[in-house]
Amino acid sequence: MKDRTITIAKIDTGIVIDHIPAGKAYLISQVLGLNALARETGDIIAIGINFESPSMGRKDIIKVENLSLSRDMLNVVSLIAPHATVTRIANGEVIEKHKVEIPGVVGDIVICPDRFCVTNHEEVPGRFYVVDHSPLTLRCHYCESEFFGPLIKYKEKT
Amino acid sequence: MDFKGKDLISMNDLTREEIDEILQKVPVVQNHPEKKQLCRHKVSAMLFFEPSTRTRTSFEVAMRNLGGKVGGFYDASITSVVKEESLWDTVKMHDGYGFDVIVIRHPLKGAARLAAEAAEIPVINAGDGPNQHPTQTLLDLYSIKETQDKIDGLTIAMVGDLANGRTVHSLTEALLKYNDCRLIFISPRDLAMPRSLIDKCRKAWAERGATFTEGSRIEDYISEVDVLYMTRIQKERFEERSPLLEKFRSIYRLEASMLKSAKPHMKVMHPLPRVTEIAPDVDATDHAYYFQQARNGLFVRETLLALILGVVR
Repeated sequence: MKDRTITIAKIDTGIVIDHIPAGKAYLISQVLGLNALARETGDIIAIGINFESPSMGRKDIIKVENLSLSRDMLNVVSLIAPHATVTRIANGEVIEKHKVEIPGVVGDIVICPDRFCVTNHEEVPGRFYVVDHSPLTLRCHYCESEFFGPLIKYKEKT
Repeated sequence: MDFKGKDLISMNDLTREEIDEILQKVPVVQNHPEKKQLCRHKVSAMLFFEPSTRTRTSFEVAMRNLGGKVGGFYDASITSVVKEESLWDTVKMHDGYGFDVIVIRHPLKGAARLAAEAAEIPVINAGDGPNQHPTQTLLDLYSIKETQDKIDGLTIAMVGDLANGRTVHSLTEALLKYNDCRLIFISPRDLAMPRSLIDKCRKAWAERGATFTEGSRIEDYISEVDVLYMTRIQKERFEERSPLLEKFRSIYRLEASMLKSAKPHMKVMHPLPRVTEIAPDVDATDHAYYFQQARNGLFVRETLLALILGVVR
């Protein structure tokens, strides 16, 4: 294999989300609303897809300049990338590195798959309880439906 | 335990202790010396977004029996809902009219939970689509306890359309809160209990000793059960003139002659309305309990109103 070194947009201050399964970075950026954020702030957002990784083979990586999301907000990444790591950088120095944790409650980022659920008919923000980690299973706060796998669909913030 | 001001939305919100407490209060309210005065100055809003006969009538009579009044609507087509008013706004509006409690039935799942979030006053779920109907489950549990003197350790068979029946799902989940129940699910394979509930039954074995069996013939289990809970095989689940519907209805039909080997105290229950699943000749047997069960619905709803309105503690 040919050695290649690829660096993407070194950031001085912000957040790096690493160890994302290959192909999931775009979905994560949509769920976190990074597109809208970039439009608003003009800050750099770098999305790397299919990087080589000793532990994962291929992985994705996201770097967001000047972003300071709370742990809770970043924990939604765990629904898509359970083994992702978050590195917080300030003035070129790593100030914190942690793994994402699966939250107990998920907010209005998921669409309830039950078409008879009130959330699909009224303007009401969704709320879901994580009832199982493996496979990741959610229960709708309103209709009480439990669902997992491909039924977990994320709202796309454009 | 104090139920004053509390919502009743889902059986999943209630612990076994809370259920037991409600069931214990039923005879207290039923035989209360001042029953007619208990809710003298209370008014219940009935928000019925879809038609209902038994639930609606029994809630109305329950409120009247406690000396209270009812208002609201029973047909959403004559309200602002047709002007596309949101559920949230409809509930908010009624919340501000000076009612003391809201009883809501709605075709959408989760509507009662949303209503409870919109309202300051307590909300009772009288059925949110195929999701929950907690007052039905409580009256089922009350009827079981009344006839068997206990719930722990009973053998309870559920028969018919177990795939789509809200009452049997909710009853199963409630029974899993009790100890050592044996559940027998009798249905055609096409209408079997959903896998998610079977998984819950499996988990409950370790925690509470619950066991379950899936079977296909009523006759195989009739001598073992304490309660035979029959349900209707709904026409709307089948295509027009489906031969399967007739076939299932003839197999999952209880007749008096089948009850010969039943335990003397065994009771047949049914959430009603029945179609063909219980032959009329069963009515005359000592096992028939479905009409008393429906009547218990009135007493259970009186009790819930009294507890939630805080007039009985």
